[in-house]
Amino acid sequence: MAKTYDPFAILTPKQLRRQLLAQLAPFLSSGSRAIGGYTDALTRALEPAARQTRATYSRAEQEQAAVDDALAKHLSGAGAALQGDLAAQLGAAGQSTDPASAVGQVGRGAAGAGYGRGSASLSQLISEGAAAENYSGHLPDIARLGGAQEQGQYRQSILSQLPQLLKDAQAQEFQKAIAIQSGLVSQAKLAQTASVDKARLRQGQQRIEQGQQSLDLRAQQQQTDNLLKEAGLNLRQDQYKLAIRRENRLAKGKARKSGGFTPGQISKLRATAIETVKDWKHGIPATTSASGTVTKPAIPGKPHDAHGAFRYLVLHGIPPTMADWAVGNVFGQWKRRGDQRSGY
Amino acid sequence: MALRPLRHASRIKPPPRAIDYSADPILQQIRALAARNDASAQAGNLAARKKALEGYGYDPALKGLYGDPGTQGTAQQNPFSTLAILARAHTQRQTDLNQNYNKANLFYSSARGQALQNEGTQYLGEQAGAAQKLQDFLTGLASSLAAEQQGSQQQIVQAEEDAYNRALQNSLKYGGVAATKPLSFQQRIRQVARKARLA
Repeated sequence: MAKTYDPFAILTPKQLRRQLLAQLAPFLSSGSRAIGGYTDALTRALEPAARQTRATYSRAEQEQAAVDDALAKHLSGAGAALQGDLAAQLGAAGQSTDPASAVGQVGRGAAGAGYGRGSASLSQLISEGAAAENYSGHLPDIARLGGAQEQGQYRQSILSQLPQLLKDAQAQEFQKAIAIQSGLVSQAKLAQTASVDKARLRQGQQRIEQGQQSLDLRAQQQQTDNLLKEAGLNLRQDQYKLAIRRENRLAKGKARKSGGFTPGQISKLRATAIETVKDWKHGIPATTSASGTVTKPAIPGKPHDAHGAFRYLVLHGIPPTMADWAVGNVFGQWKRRGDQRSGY
Repeated sequence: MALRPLRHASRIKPPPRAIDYSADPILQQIRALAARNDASAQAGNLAARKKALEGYGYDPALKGLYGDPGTQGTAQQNPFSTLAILARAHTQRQTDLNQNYNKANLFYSSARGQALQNEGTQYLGEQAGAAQKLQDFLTGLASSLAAEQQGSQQQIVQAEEDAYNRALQNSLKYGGVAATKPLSFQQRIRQVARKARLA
């Protein structure tokens, strides 16, 4: 079963350290991969440097050697040619060819000296090339060392944040401990529980009210049914529904709830109902004009037809309980069984 | 071809992602610049070398240095090359010597032999001096070309290091490099489901 998360659980310094290290680990590993990968790329790029340096200096050395050799041969050849020329001239005059030999010797010496100078330059090139090649050969190693140094610095820069992070986390844990000690946490829990209870109570009340309303409605319907039954009214479905609706509106109006009749409407309905029942019982005299002509004939009263009055009121929009009240007030006891006058 | 069962899909490892900075634009620019400088140095070196050899003149012993028949021909036909001028002066001096010693009735004397030896030594000395100058010039050319090529290489090495630093700092600043470890089958399924939900 999964352990429930508790924000108020106090973590030990060891746990905090482990947690922070786990958070820093992705940074360390991704950074380390980046440094390693890029260092490898740099190392690969620098590896051909030594070979290129070797090639550069080899070309120069070959050129230098070729120049030295060619010039030495050139001087040597020039000396030999001159020696031959002089020997021929002196020989033709019957003289000693020693001067010619001496000139040949000078030519060979000059060639040797030139070769020596060239060798010095070649040696310089060779040593420069060797040094440059040595340096170029070490470049990949230098890159690897730089990468290792970079790894260390990066790791250090990440881990150097750990003490401060740990300090902050410990301060937070300390505040949690203070909150628990001072009872803030319990009060909070109490307040939470109280608010939950309150909400539950409110919901219960709402449910009770809804039940009560439903019961009231059913009772009103029952009362209306009884009244209509006692009055012997056999209403059509639509008339019955209208009567029930009127009764509900009357009940809501008396309870001062929305959707009901206003007090003014109730008062008007009541007056209308009483006057109508009176007219029903006593009749309406004829209306005559000033010349004595009957404009409206008299309507005879029905002093024993309480049911008719009740039916008339209900069919003309008076709520049944109000109609019962009005008929009762005008006709007195009008129903057969006991006193069932509405409490209206 | 039979289809590979889906449960084996997780065993197929993707190729490891290469970490490379060679696409760095500054690095590319410096590489191109270094290549241009290198080519320019080689061309300059060749031109200076040809000019020096044409100015020096022709000698069969120097055939290996001319490089191409055009340079050799020009050196050979150049009447004012160093070697041609020295040769003319040498011939002139020998002629003058012989005439003077002949006029003084000393043509068969050992003094003429000594004078010719001295003149020959002078001529060889002049040739050695000219050859030395040429040798120094060509040595300087070879050294400077090597130095320039080495400088270009150093420039590229420095640019590589700079590009490395740029790429690395950028990578460390914006999240390093993602792990190249392939996802397991379950992880792939979850990834696909997550994408489908997002869509």
